[in-house]
Amino acid sequence: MKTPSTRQRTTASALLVALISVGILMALGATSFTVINNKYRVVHQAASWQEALLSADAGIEVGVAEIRKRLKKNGDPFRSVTSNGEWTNSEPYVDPSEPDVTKYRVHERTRAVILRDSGGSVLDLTGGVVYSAEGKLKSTVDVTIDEPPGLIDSRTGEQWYRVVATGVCGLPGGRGFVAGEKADGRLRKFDFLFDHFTRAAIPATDGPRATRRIEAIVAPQTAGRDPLFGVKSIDLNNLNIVVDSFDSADGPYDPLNPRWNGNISTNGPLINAGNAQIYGTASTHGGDVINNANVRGNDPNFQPSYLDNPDRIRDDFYRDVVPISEPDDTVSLPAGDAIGGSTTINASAGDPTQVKVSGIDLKGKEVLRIRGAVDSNGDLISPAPATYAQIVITGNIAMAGQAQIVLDPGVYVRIFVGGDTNIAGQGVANPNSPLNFQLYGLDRPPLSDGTPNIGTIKIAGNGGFRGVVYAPNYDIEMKGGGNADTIFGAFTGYTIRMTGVQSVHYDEQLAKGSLITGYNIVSWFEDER
Amino acid sequence: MISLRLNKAPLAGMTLPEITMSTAVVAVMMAALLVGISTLSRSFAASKEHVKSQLEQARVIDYASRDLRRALNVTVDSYQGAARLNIEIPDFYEPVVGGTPKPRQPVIQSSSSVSYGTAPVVVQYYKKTQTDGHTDLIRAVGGVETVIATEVEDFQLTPTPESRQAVTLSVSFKSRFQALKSAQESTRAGTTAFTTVMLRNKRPSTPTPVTP
Repeated sequence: MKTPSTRQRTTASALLVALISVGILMALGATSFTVINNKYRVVHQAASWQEALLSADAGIEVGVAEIRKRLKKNGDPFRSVTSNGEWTNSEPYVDPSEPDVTKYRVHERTRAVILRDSGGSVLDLTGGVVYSAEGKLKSTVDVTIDEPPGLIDSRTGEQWYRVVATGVCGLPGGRGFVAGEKADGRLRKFDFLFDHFTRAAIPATDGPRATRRIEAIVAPQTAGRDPLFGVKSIDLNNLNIVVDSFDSADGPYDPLNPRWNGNISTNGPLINAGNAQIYGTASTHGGDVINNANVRGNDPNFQPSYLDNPDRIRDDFYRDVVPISEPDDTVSLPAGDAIGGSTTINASAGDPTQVKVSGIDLKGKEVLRIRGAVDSNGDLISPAPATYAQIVITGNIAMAGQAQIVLDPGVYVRIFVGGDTNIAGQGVANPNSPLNFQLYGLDRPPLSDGTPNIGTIKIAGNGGFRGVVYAPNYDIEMKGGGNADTIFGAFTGYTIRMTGVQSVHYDEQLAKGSLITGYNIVSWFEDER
Repeated sequence: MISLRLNKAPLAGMTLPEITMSTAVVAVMMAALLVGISTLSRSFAASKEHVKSQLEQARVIDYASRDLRRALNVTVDSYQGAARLNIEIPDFYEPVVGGTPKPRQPVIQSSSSVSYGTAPVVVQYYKKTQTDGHTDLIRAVGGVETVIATEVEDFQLTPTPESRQAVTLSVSFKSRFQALKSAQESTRAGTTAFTTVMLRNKRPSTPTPVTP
């Protein structure tokens, strides 16, 4: 009789137990690996998705910068009016060689390439975006700028622009799959074989990628967009000063119902609000607003008190300042003698009257009249049609005694001054909107030691002032005459200082119609298709 | 002749103490194994749940951040006892039946804004208890609901205004694997993820303030 070996049975059981144990451990390990790997993929794919947004956002900035570049060309303030006789701004400089490649004229097509490596950043010369991060993924952005027909401002004829930026970032891990759940796929829409925006096949040389698209609308910003803007500082100095706004499209200024867009701002570090009554925000570039107890902010509904409004004082303000050059139309004109007595300049319908003089010097009761449209008898036409004049003054403007500049009804005038300006006497009589009188300080080259060459513009005439002053290289001083001088307008200067009892009422319509001095994004949308 | 005596000893039965001891040892080992497996299993389930919650947290934040960035206005109210985030965005797409939606052409609306379509589209984020009792996190566009996270009873959505142009959104959940169940709520702080989003479109001059 043969007895089964007990030793063999024991050995077999140990092997089985070992195999089962290994199997269990492997199953646990594989499951853990799957879970971890899935999360790892989700995290890295999401990171690429975020990177694509950064690229697209950078592309929008590239597009806006391309549009803003046009403002740097010398000259090109208004040279014509629209066919319906409205005052208009000239188009920004456009290269005539640009091709018409779509149904809208495409101004620019920029491809900025962002390369990253472990050593830091690489600047691609075709793009110009410097990036520094880990990894070796490549991000690119395509930028298109066009002019949709719906983006022409019917009131001013100004063209707004559409900037579309498509940011693309490679996905790590090769042609794998969308990690995570279905909701992740619906959100991030990764492209493995086809671009989900264009339906075009992705080249075999390109790997899978995350693609995000942003559409931004860029609108021109004009010299009259800021009620009070001082490049270096603002000094208000008196608690009786009122700065508020109104919209002349809704009717005349109502002191009992002011609007709260009387913003004051500076690129510098300091505003002395002087406890003035500011119905708007006070903004600096990383600085302080002192004596700000009466700065109310933009929101009249803020409860229980405007002091609770976190945005009434801001320190993150900065605005690019565009210098003003002499208009092209007047560059070749010889500068005539200074206007030194009562003088009349006839404004014209259609193309503006162009005048270039060495200065204006008015004393006593001398008057510079800008005459509007007249009939055959020489009488002013009523109602007055729009007429235009453009005056370049290479030297100073000086007014004293009871001297006055008078605009007839319907007259629009733009004055470009190269020297200093002292508007005193009876000041400027402008029966029209503040937009009808625009005073620009011409760019002044820096002094030989490199310091800024700052001019002065003083407004101290009786009877207040209605106009737009844009002179970023000038100190602007507004003086009250002891009475309640009222100023309707918008002011940009190197510094702004107000003394005496005055009020500044900003007409929100001034944001349109003066010279274009910048472009801002007014709409931002990420296309989620 | 074959001797049976040689095999007698190996086949001999164990004594009662030996059986008792071995049974006890095996029982202890089995108990330890069971406890270990159970603990490992619970730990694995908890880790998996934690990972799932983190991924859903990131997804919710990514969804909401995208809508907040392009928002025209943001308000908060409540739905089924929890915060509901209401985001107005431009009506960017032409209505389409099937196929890919087509963007609208923008039209100048005022001196500083454009419009797409006649009225904004409202996108809402809220928790919703479904008829079978479980709770989902919903993204509703114009009233059409899409589930973006499931079984989120413990999720908490907290929008906070930082300024007129910025909103902080935090999403937290309770960790499920805790020695003491009473300590679960206290773990929420450790699971909080948040993002501060700048609203790229300037909000209206008199917005309805976001209230947490």
